[in-house]
Amino acid sequence: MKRETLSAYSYLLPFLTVFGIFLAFPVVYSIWISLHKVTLTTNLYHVFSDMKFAGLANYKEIWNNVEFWWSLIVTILYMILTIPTGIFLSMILAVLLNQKIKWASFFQSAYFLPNILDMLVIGLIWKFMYSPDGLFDTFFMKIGIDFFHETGFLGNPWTALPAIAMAMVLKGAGFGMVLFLTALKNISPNIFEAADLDGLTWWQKFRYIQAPLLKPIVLFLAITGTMACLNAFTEFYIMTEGRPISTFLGETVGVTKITGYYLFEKFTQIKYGYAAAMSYFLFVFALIISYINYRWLREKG
Amino acid sequence: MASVILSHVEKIYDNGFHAVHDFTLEVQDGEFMVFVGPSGCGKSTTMRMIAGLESISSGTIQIGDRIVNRIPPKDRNVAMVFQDYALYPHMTVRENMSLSLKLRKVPKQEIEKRVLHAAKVLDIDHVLDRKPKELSGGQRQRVAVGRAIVRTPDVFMFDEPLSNLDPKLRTTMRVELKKLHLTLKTTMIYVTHDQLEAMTLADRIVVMNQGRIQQVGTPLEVYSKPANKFVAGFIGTPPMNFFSCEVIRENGTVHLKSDGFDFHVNRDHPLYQKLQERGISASSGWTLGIRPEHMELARGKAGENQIQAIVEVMEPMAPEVFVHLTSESGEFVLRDDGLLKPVIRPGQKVKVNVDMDNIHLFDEEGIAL
Amino acid sequence: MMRLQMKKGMLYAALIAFALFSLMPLFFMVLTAMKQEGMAMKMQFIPDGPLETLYTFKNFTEVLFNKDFPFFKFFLNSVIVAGLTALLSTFICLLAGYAFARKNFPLKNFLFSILLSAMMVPGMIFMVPQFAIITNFGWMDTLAALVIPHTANIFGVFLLRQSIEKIPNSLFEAAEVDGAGDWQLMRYVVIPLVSPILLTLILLTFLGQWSNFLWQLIVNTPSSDWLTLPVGLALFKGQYSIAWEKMMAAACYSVFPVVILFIFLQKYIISGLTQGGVKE
Repeated sequence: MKRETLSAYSYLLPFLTVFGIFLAFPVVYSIWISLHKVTLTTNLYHVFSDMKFAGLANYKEIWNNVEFWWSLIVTILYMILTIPTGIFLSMILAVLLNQKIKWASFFQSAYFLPNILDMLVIGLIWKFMYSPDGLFDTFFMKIGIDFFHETGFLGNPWTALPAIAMAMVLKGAGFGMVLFLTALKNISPNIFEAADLDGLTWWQKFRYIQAPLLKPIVLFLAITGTMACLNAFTEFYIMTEGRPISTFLGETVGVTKITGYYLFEKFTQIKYGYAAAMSYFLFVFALIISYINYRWLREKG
Repeated sequence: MASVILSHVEKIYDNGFHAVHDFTLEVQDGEFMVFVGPSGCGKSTTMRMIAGLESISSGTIQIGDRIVNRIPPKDRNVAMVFQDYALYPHMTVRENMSLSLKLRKVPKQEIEKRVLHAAKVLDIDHVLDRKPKELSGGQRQRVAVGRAIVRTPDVFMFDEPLSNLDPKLRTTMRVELKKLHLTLKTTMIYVTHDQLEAMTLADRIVVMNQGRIQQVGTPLEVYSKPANKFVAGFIGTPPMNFFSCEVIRENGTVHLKSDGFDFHVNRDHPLYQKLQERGISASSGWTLGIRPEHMELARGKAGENQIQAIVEVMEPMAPEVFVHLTSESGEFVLRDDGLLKPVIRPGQKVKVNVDMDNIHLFDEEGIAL
Repeated sequence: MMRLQMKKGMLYAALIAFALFSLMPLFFMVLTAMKQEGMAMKMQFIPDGPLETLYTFKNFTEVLFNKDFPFFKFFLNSVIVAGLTALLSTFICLLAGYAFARKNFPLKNFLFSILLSAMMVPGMIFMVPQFAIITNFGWMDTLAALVIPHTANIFGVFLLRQSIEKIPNSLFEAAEVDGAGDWQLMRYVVIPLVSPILLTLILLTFLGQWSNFLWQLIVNTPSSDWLTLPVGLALFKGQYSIAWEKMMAAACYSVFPVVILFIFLQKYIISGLTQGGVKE
């Protein structure tokens, strides 16, 4: 072998080892697991040597499982609630901050900070604020609205998911804002001077100069947002654990039992094969959604 | 100090590009050798092969008495000054100059001594603790040179070191490099696309084009006896004028004829003898080369070996003037001492004398006769 | 002129309102953490009598050395897990990024596209098989399980490859001619020149692992010695679901280090995150 090849691979060795064992191999290994079931006799922490081949049984079960399809609907609802609002909010913040204002860097920091804080902690705080007699309920009671008093925001099937979504949009908006702001700052002021000479209005300037440059960022945020929703777990774990309960096609379902949480639940029930199979459904779903996102934004311009 | 011997060196890149063809050259110990040619001619590639920064496809390179084909750059004991200087931006001047010695485990005191000495020679001892970005272009250039000379290498290499400097500074640095060579007496290999730099600096010049050596010789040789049309056109400013012509040898006279002129020389001119040796009496497809400095305005006098032309443009270069003319045989330039400037004007018809002792004749392949 | 002033005023009002809204959870957390026992559920923030009737600092010390949920230990564990992952991962990515940026080797493009596509796989896919591998290795409740699987950071390899490629080739050549071998190129050229990126990557990995709850939850049994802050907090909530002032005090220990890092090093954090986005 050539000396350069040898030295290149020796640099790559640590990375490729970890990548191979913990990222590449699992994708294949997961297929194997998804074709098996845990038996009653298996040891809780060494289950994988003692699984029974089950063929496509797990996949079939999932396909016929109303709860699973409901969890996908929750995922889609969560996407609809978080992604467009998140993008819109961060774009507005970026446009506001892209003007000559004092304390711009303070505002930027204040908006960005929640983005890097621990999801579990933020979820916990919001859970407290949303609880009956919590911050928001107390406020609404003061102005005479007792609608949220009994269950709190998270216990009500209509408000639970939007409440989680709002908390997460506020947490995440700073990230998109920074991206938009960077793009806006890269536009040469000469272009705006030329636009002023051409007599463009504020809206026309945004429409024809800024918006086209922001489009790739919108796409990026849509894709990362989709991924975040498909992987969404911690906020649901800490805030609702899938509750409240409702019915869907005659089955009892958790209103906020999103796929990520549902998968975790199956995992804790030691249904490893089932969980693995479900993660492949999720993968296909991810590919479809990413593709739609991509196509949709492409067609728009 | 060492000689550098290249024999039949070839460079073929992975993508199939044949950058250097059959390069054979001996650079003598202490010689200042300049590789010159247009961009992409293979001059830099050749130098980088000597430094070990490019692998050699075939042939051998020898530095001193070692074949260095498989020796990595760090063990070749060569130093190089790069076009963009390649100073380490995060190190001070002192650290930049010390690194190579530090890597070779030279004792600290010795490093300090050598760096200081080199810095004094190059007049940068007052900026030793600054970082490269705080220096002027000329100072950076000196640091790059300084980094090379602290090492007392066997061979110095310069890859277009002056091309990032403004013209005035370039002239100054050129002189300093020449002085440096006279002091150090180390073998130097210098790559440039600027023929003026090559002429002024070199002991010998290697003119390259399309990966091949065109000519090796002293500056005077490549100027006065260019081996082919490429060298003739590349060396000298303004470049040599070329006229296509036919050659007729009869009755002890050689005629060089075209629509616009009929130059002739007689039996004792070297041209005549060479044509005779090759048995050529009448043939076409030749190129006549005359340098602008070997032509002059005839001031109205009619005579032999003249060409009629119309003045197009004059470029006063003080003290001389470049006069651009057009004739039936094509456009050409002559270089005049400038005293005649008021006498001629654009559009004027003039006669031009040719110094027949300094003409060059190239055959159909462009090889000098 | 008046209209312009009004517009400015509205702009500032909007900016301040959103800043308050954005930071509200943090204010709320800190105030609740300082409440006297039993006062957390009363949404009262201005004390009727002296300050001590409502506020106290004792929650902060109490959670730190709680018998069942020693948050001091959880905090140390989190520091070790996130810190070790950050350092190890950045080092591994530096080596790999260097190979991708500066070396030619067979399968280079193939490997690179594998890495690219691996970034598009939803993380949930990895949970079950990674857990399976950890149990097979006998790594449950160990530091290795918390650290090693997250040291292959594909984004980090991309980021470093990109910044090493930006270093002019002539610098490497100059160092080679100066007598540097591969490791010395790394030490004298690469590391000093990409150090801001290294710092960025260390910070981002640290922050990522500081709040990596799911993984830390599943590879730790409740009796593990390596329970981290988020896991400890989740377990604590399961046990004492109404002791909000204690929970918020514990939460502060998760938030404060991040806020401090952010205040001093936000330039690096933001630049790292935006590079991921602008690359698209």
